[in-house]
Amino acid sequence: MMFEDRKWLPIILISPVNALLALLIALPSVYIIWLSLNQSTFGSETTFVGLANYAQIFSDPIFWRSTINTFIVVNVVVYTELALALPLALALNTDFVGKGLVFSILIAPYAVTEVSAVVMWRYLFETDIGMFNMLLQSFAGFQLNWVRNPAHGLTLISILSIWIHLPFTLIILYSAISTVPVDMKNAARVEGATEWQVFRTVTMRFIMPAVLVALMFRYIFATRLFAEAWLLTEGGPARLTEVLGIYLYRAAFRYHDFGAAAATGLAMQMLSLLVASFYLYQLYKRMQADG
Amino acid sequence: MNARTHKMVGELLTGVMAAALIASTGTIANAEELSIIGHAVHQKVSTGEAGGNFAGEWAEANSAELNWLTFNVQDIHERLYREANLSSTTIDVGFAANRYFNPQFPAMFEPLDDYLARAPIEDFDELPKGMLDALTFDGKLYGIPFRHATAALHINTAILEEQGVPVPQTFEELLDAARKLTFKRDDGTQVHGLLLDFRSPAILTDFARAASNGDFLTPDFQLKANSPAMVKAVETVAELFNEGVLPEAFLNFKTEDVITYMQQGRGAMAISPFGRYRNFNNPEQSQFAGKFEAVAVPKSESLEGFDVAPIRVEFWALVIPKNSDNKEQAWDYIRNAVSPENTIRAAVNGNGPVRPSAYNDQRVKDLVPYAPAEQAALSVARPPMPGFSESARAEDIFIEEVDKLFLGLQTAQEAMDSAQARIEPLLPSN
Repeated sequence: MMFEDRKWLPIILISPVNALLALLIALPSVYIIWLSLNQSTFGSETTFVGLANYAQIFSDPIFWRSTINTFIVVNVVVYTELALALPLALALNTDFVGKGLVFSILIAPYAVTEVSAVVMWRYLFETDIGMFNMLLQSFAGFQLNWVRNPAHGLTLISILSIWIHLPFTLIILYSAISTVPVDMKNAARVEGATEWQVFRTVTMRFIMPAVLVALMFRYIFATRLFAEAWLLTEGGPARLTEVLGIYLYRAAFRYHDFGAAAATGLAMQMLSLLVASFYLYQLYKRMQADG
Repeated sequence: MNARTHKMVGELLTGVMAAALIASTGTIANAEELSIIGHAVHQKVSTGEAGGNFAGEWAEANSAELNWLTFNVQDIHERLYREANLSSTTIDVGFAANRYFNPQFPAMFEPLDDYLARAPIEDFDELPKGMLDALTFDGKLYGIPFRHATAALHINTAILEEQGVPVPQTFEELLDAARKLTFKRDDGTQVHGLLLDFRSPAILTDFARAASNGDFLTPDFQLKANSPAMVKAVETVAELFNEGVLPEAFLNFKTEDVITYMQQGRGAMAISPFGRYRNFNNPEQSQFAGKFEAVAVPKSESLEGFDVAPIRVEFWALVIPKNSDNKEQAWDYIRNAVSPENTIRAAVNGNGPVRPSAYNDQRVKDLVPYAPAEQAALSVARPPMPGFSESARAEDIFIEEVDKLFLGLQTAQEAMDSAQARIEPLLPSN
């Protein structure tokens, strides 16, 4: 009997989940792959065009500019978030007066919708009357001219994205740091380790898997960057601040060129997979090393 | 079957019957509901107070419930076209703007000729032929014009008086006044002499039209991007931008920014549709309520054959998705909405009336102060460019090239030569 050797039981038990995953992830993915090989728009028959959509986007200089912009912004955002979240998470793992309030303030941006956040930051950095730009002008002698200067535009997109998403990395690292055994740290101190050595050899060793998970997830989410960039600059001026999310949006919702949009989506997915695979490999190596 | 099982079966049957009842009630409710997708302004002019809620009156008379779905312009068309491509839709009536009309219309929307023959629209012949032609594909009519938005010159009379600048009578005077009206107040507030809604071929073509009746794209798809008239137009706008007459934020302008700038007195004049008159003069939002006037955009001294500039007019039409289950009722709604009487009532609510006779009505004369100026502008206005499948991509290319000009990366001639070369292959004739 099939159930007697219980070999099939685990497969049967997890099959509903696999079916759900197939329905929600695999089927749409297959559809997108198929769509990327077709010319498709409203009011027209879908026609098979082979790799023409890929040829179209890969020969478009704006696609490559968007890819480079995405790469720059994603790296700036992800590593700045990590650089800020790590000391903040360490500080929050100590006891001080008003810790709860500080923690609430730090994670509050995560509760703000992206649209509201962009509107707020847009007016704070308005070139004529923006409060932050006026302060910058007074104290630093320059403004963040994000409407005219593409580098400034990408900078503001990065600042905004970091502000919104910092709590995600912070919470993951805070949780990881709070699980580091105090005994281990004390033992290291008894052995004469400095605080820096304790942090490097004990704390970091324990939290490294969490750091890798946070980096991987933020890379994947950040590659899909859209709302902040679209609502702030719409990719302008001259499409010089365009990121892949905007490139895809234009293809799908402005030009109704669904084949090119699907091809762009798959290119974005490949980019995410490429980055994620590196971090997954690092995680796998650590798990192997830890037995 | 024991008592407990009997009870359970009874409860189950009751539940199924209740669900069936709810489902059938829902179906009945849907049959009475007419879903309309459009912009908030379409709802406002159809249900407003000054001219009356003619849409609501129609719904009451027909025991129907109107379900308005309102979005911004691009999202209206994305949703409308997407719904029209499904096997069925809950959208019964859609508003579509002329620049989104394209040859795919017949695959998505109901041809209206048979409806028109069975239940005619009152004084149908009064509807502008040019608009009806733009809605005709393969000899069949796919939409009924409802609203026009013609560009006007909005003037903050308080700022003009303060600076001693007279109302410009020619296009040259307009440019001169815009420069004189660009100044910084004592409190540091920068006032810009002229505002434009955003960067688009339509808006920059206004400059070519006012100066020399130039065009960007003719109705028969002749691309004139690098014609002397268009090169001069974008060059003029770039000069205004570089001189600070147009704000730096123009590179990122959205319609609401123009409204905010004007309401706060940070803009002295704006070229924007006549309908904005109400926004600029809104006493609850504007610091200069009652101080704004809307006049027809003046033409160049050298332009002959026109009293005012032959500026852009955009228009909206009512369409019925082919897959709607409620087409007869949708047609009845459209007939009612575009009747001569309701065109007048919508105009009183702030709509741009597509029937010229509406401007002769006393209610419009009394309640729409800019009506004579709008009528004059409309008499020579024409759509900035015809709709085609790749119009959005063409617009983006134009904006990209113009932005490079504004950033000083190329000359006006180079920008328009590049736009010409990149847009040409996207046109239907190619």
